[in-house]
Amino acid sequence: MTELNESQINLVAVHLDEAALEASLSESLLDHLCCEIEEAMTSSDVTFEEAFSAVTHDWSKERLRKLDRTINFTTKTKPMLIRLSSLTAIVAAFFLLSPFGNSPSPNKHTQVVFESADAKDFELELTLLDPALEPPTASPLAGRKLDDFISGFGMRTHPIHKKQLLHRGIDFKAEMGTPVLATAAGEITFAGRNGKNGIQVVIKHEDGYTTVYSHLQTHLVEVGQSVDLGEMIGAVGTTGASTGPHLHYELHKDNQPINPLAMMD
Amino acid sequence: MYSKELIKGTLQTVVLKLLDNEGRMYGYQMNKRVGELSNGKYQLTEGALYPLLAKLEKEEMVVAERETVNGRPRKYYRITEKGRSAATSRREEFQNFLITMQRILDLNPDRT
Repeated sequence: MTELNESQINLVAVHLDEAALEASLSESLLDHLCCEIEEAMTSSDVTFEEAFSAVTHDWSKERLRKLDRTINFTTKTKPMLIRLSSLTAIVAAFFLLSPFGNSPSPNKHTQVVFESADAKDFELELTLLDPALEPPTASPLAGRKLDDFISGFGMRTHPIHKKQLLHRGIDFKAEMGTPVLATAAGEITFAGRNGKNGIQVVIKHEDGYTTVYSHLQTHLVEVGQSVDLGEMIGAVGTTGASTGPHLHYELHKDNQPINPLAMMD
Repeated sequence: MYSKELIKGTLQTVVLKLLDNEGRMYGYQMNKRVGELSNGKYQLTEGALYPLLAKLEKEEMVVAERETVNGRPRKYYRITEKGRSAATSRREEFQNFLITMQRILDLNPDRT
């Protein structure tokens, strides 16, 4: 079995350093990539240069960054989401059960409990998946299901123009300021005012998917920035051609609008 | 190569059982070993393996030991008692699941 020498290992380390990974991941991958190179040199009888070039091409900076974000998500963001959702359940249960809880609307509290159960399902669904590679199937609003919309995809009478037009996305009614979340990991390709769409954010994902979030009150991300699944990108508003606070959400595949619900399992 | 869904549901059990059988292992070695055991049909992708190992370490199902091998640090993973009992109950659950699936899907083990 070929063993890499110090300067060869250094070359691999430099490649990893360029991706600015979290230290322990960088350490694991250094060994992993060196093993791959050694294996290639031993079994396929190629030179170090050839093996190095093939392995570093395969492990591009982009792929490394993605893996880094995945680990961050599974070890930090996700446990936080679970803690938050269990906390919500405990608080909700307290209000629901407590004789002191001045609960004006019991339905509202019941709903909170269900919402946190949804968050758990969501968590289970994500376990051991590579969230950085998932197509956009999540809901853009926390605690809301993707099919809980007020206006669906397809032909409809436009609420302002009163004409039959193709509705290119789905509309969620939500309060002003409700956090809007990225439905998959990706890169921001637009963030700002866009005519009738009001304040808008566009995210480019893997495999030709794009998601669009319109009529926002504010955007919290800028063009070129990378976002994770579930990351807050803005807040619900009523900017542009809109009759009240709502989120207009679109999913595109290869620049064609598709029904976001079509992606659900 | 099995579907992502099947691998997703079994990866943790597979990794824990592997560590239980083979003592301590490092990432690349697990990748290769599972490939061998499954004739390449069960692929542990790094995108799933390293996040899983980080999670298992955090949950104290495995412990990691650092060593310098061939001039670079290598992280060896070893199963803990907590990990072992989790692996056992998951294996039992899986066995049960297999029997149920055989019945529901009408699979005939004699024919396969």
